Amino acid sequence: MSAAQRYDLVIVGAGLVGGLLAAAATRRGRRVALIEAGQKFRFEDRPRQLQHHQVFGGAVWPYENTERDRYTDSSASSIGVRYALESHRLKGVGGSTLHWGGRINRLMPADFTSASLYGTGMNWPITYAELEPYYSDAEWELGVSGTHHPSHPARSRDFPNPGFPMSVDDAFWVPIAERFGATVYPTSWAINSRPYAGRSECVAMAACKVCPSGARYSADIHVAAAEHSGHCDLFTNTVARRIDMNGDGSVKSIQVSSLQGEGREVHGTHYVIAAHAVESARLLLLSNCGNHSDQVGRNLMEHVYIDAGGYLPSRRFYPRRGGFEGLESLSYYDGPDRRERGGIKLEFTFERDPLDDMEGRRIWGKAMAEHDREDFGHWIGLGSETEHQPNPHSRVSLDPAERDLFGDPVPHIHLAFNDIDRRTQRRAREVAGELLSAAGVKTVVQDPLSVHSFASHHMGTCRMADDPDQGVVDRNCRVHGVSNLYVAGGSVFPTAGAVQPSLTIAALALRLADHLLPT
Amino acid sequence: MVNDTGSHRWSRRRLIGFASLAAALAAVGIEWPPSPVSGAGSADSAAPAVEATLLAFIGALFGRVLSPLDAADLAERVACLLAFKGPLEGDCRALALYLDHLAARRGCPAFTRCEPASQALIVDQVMRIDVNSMAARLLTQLSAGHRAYYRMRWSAVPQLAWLYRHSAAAWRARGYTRWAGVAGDWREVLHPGVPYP
Repeated sequence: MSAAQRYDLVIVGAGLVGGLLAAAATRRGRRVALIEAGQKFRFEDRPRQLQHHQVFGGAVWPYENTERDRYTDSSASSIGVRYALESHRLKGVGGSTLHWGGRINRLMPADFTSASLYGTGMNWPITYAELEPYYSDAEWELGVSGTHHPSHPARSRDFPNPGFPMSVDDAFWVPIAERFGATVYPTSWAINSRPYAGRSECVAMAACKVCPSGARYSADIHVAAAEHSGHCDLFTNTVARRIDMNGDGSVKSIQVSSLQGEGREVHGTHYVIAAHAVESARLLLLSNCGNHSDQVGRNLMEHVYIDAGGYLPSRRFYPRRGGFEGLESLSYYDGPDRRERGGIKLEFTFERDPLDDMEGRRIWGKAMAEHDREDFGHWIGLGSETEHQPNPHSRVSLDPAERDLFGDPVPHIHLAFNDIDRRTQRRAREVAGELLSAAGVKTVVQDPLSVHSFASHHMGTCRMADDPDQGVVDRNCRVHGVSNLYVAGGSVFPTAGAVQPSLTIAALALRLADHLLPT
Repeated sequence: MVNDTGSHRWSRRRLIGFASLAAALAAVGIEWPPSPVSGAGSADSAAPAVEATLLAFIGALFGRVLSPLDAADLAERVACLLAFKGPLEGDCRALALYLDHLAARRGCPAFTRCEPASQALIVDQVMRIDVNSMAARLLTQLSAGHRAYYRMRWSAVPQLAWLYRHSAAAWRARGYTRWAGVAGDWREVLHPGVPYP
């Protein structure tokens, strides 16, 4: 990167947004700088990464750099548990799509207008109908395998790949759900059910978090396409530290540093911050940019997972043959009671390894062999993804004391729930208990509500609003008051819904590409 | 000078404390010192012997008689574990030494040469080491030998258990012909699998 180099588009973050935007821009002949704090992993290394994990445990993707990635957290004071950010994100080319499961869902139309419909959350400045064409485009970019179900929102285009059919295990749930007036459907996945876009079909390696075959989408694919065009410069292990402003309220450059501390400026016409809900907000706060109404960092949202399950001795299942389990229900998502609680999406599972019980139940030797024989394949589980309401007290801020390797304040996380969130979590727990009991489970195993597990979906912190006092970016993801600065990703979500956010992130990225880079 | 005097005093006091503690521990049956694990990290025990001992331990820990195929698969992974230079390697070597020590007490030349019943009793003895007790916390601070002894239990044993749970051997025992990392056909899930053998 020469000092004189000027790009059409400077993107901070080479994850899902960065990859899609860079690929779209370079296809349109634009010059792109893609700045990524993490490293570039080699596709050929994936089998080795898997084997290392199988022997040693720990992270499949060794992305962490303790000094670069430091943060502080005070969530325990509000929700009772520490939020372990390091296990919920991945810094590297491809971002969190390197280790995601690949579940794909669109937000429901009601999620965009929950304030009007239910008096909860906040309306998005755009509607589902406006985003719908981009949802379809995103499904084709990622290569989604799915089958339309009546409970899904309306779509204008078919999925690019046929859906994975219901497995013999999944079919168990159909009559049970029907007894409750609920419907279930096979999950849509960003995993190829047939060869697509130069990637193989799924070969059931049961290792989706690393996917050695490449059948599961990860955003490094789009980054590679952008690089291959010859119009994209990718800067890895390079941390964006400040946004420099001109006197006229536009961005002049992004200040970046290598991990060794070598600094430089990157200049462009447009700038997009897509560094994940935590780091995007942090960069704006560090730069004192876009925070005219004290909205930057606020309304941090996650999806709380409510897990439940139990043994069913009378029925044998066959878990972990494909590697991903594929049944969901949206029957408890919406409805009149959503005035009182948020959305709930159910995910049905059959996985629990009896061999994990060694230390907890203190069994080993022949007793363990017998335990595995009796219990393996007899577990049914229900995971409920629950909506987290926007809440100004749930936020990312700058830690007043802790510093990273450059001496910059580290992000401070404080997750908070309100009464609606607690009612949502309670209702999800009730639903799971009812369904599992109806399935024949004698003893339903559920954590108390005080024990939270999370889906690793970070949203909010730079939310989208037409009113500059209510949000950080406008309906086109442009930072209010700054002519050439955009934020993209889960950070712009005004509400979280209760589905995986990746497809909405991808759709918003493609919509931003059309806005920024008209053909 | 004052500090030196103080440290001598403290040494005498500590000596008396150690002696009392050792007597008390002996009285309740805690071995002092757990000599076989002491310094195991630097022991130059032959790698194949250590590997074989750890393989036998894994089999006994999960109540399995390992087939030659299972043993070959696991041996590759155990070798990978031992090749990783760091505390874990030392912890694994300490465990192997301790298993042989317990085997010798039962009259076996080595853990691998013990009858299955004796191996099961030895495994039971290892698994009952209480790493969370007050004594464990105290002794870990006071003695390198005990530190190695307790590390062997809370580091090496769970690591070997993890390794087995994610191995072909664990899944083959359940009748599976594929496991994580082995390619197949996703359509397999449309049909019932095989029952537990």
